[in-house]
Amino acid sequence: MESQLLQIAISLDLAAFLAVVLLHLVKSTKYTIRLYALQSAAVAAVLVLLGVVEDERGFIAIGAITFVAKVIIAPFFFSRLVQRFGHLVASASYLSMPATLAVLLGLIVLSASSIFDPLWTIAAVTPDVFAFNVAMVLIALFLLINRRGVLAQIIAVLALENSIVLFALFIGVKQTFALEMGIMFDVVLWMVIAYAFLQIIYRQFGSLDTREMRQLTED
Amino acid sequence: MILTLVLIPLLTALLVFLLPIKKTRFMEASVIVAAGIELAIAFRVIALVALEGSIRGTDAFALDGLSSYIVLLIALVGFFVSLYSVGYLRTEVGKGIIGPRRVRQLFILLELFLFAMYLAVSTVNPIITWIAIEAMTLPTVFLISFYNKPTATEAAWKYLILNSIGLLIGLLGTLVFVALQEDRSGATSWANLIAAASTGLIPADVAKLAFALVFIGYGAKVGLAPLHAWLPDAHSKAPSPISALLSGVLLNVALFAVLRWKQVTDLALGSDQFTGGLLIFFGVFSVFLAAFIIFVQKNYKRLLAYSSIEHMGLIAIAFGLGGVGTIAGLLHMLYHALAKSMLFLLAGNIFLRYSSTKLKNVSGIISALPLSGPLFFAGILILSGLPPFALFTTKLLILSAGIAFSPWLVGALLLALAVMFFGFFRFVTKLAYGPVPEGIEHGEAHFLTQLPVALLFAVLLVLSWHIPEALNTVITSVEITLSH
Repeated sequence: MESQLLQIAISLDLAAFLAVVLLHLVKSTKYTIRLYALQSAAVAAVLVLLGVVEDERGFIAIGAITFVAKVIIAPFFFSRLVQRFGHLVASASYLSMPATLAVLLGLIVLSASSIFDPLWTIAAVTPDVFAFNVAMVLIALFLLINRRGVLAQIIAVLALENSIVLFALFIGVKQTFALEMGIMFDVVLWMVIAYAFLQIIYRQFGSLDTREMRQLTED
Repeated sequence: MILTLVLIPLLTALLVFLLPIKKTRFMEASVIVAAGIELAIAFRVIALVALEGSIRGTDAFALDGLSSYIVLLIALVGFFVSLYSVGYLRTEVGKGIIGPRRVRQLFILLELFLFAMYLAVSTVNPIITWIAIEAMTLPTVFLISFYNKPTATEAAWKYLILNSIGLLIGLLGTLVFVALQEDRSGATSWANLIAAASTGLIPADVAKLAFALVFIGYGAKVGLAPLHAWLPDAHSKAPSPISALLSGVLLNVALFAVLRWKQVTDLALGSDQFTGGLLIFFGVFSVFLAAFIIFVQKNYKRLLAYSSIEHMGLIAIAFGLGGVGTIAGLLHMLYHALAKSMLFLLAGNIFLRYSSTKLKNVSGIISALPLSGPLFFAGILILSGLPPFALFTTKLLILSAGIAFSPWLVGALLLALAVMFFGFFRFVTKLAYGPVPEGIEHGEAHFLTQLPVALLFAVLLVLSWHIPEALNTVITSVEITLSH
């Protein structure tokens, strides 16, 4: 039973990995939001599975809260913004698609390379997916660097946070309910602030493209 | 006592939130009284830690030498900033720049900022430290964008994104360290991690990688180059009392986290060469970058912000060198916190009189501002490390410690410090002695914008020549803990 649940968790982890890769490939903001929701759903499901395996109700509760906050509420508000600002919500990237693909390939190769060999000490719990999790973190970080839209950057930060949560869960870090809640509280608060800022940026710059924010260089 | 210390700012924020919007005087009184109590507790904490070595609160809270020292910095700067905010905000309300609603917002955010800082240093759990430092970003982002101008919004956005990336990388490093313990439990403590590192449970190569991640994460918040990009913008766009807190305390709280992880890593590696090397490399980079970039600055608050990068670089070098360097680093933290917050508060007084932070619009402050002008000039002298002020001594100590490491490094640092000195004086002489522009009234804006800076100056002078016995004991104990 436990090994079956672990297999499901690994499948969910791979789904989250694919979602982050696809976030680089989609141009539509609508699909960007959906892919983020998919990655978040995988995180929520892994948390619930962990709660079942370890018989920890706290993890099940955190999984449920993660699902509500990241799969329902955040995508709902992001979608409303897309409806409101339409074409202004840029999800364009700095690098061209072939260059992006080349970097993605490079990051995947890098995460399986000897550079991360020292970290294999902590990969004992789930060695099968360790390189994927390292790659997921690197790819999410690259997403943040490569995207120039404000909303896309917000989603990239959240995708990076999801990737780190999965990394921690799969290396077997045992968080207490209080600590998980603390981290979750920070993330939710961060989302609220980023959402508020998105609207302020639109009001003051008339755009949601970070390239339009050039007031400081002229100051 | 520790819980009281942490909870007072939170309760004050709640109280200010609950007060009717027009009860500004009550809000002001609450903020000042809370800051006074915090300062009294911080003095008591230092006395107790000097006597007993550490204070235990609940399971999750304790204060040792390093954390009590940072508590003192937060409380000292927090007290003067709270006092100054009252005068500053009264003047801004008087000018019609902001209304009582914004005053309440600022006080609430200020208290939440202080709460997060006290929490970060008082907890024994590294993950709670991370949560608190991340939580610190949230009130500060609204404080930086307080004036709702496009430049302030841009600075706040930059701060939010860069710090969030940094802190997530820091979280990754923290979790790797946690996973290296036998039970992999997040409910750990600095003491557990130190014990694990001392007994060889943390493999050296993983410790190096994890420290590198943590260093990138918190280093961004410390403002070490090349992760400093947010700092000049945020410091220059925030209201002056907030710039004082950002520069005087926030950078030190982030450095506190770096030093905690340095201690764990050094024990795991059995040597401080790796962590010291990183601190020295990025410290030197920061000093050089700041020294050469100030020549092109057009804004006096940005000038001070770049000086913060320089000083945090020097402090990083000091801790990287270890031994005498550690003592110099600790003292430099204290003096820089006091001097820089005083200068940012004085920058606020200049702004209140000239309504501009641009260097081309400001001149003759010594005649226009009878107290703030001379103090600003004196503050720049202190910051530049001229004798007989305390920062001269600490810079000298850092350079002396550096000679054993590399005379070339010391030579290069001396060159950078000289460049910084000339860069500063190129602007400051005009700022101080030029003609006062037409239409600028003479005199200070408000009594409460003068009193805190005068007191800060007095404290800085007293501490330059006399370190109280208890504080001296704490500094020595921190040096022993960090260096051995």
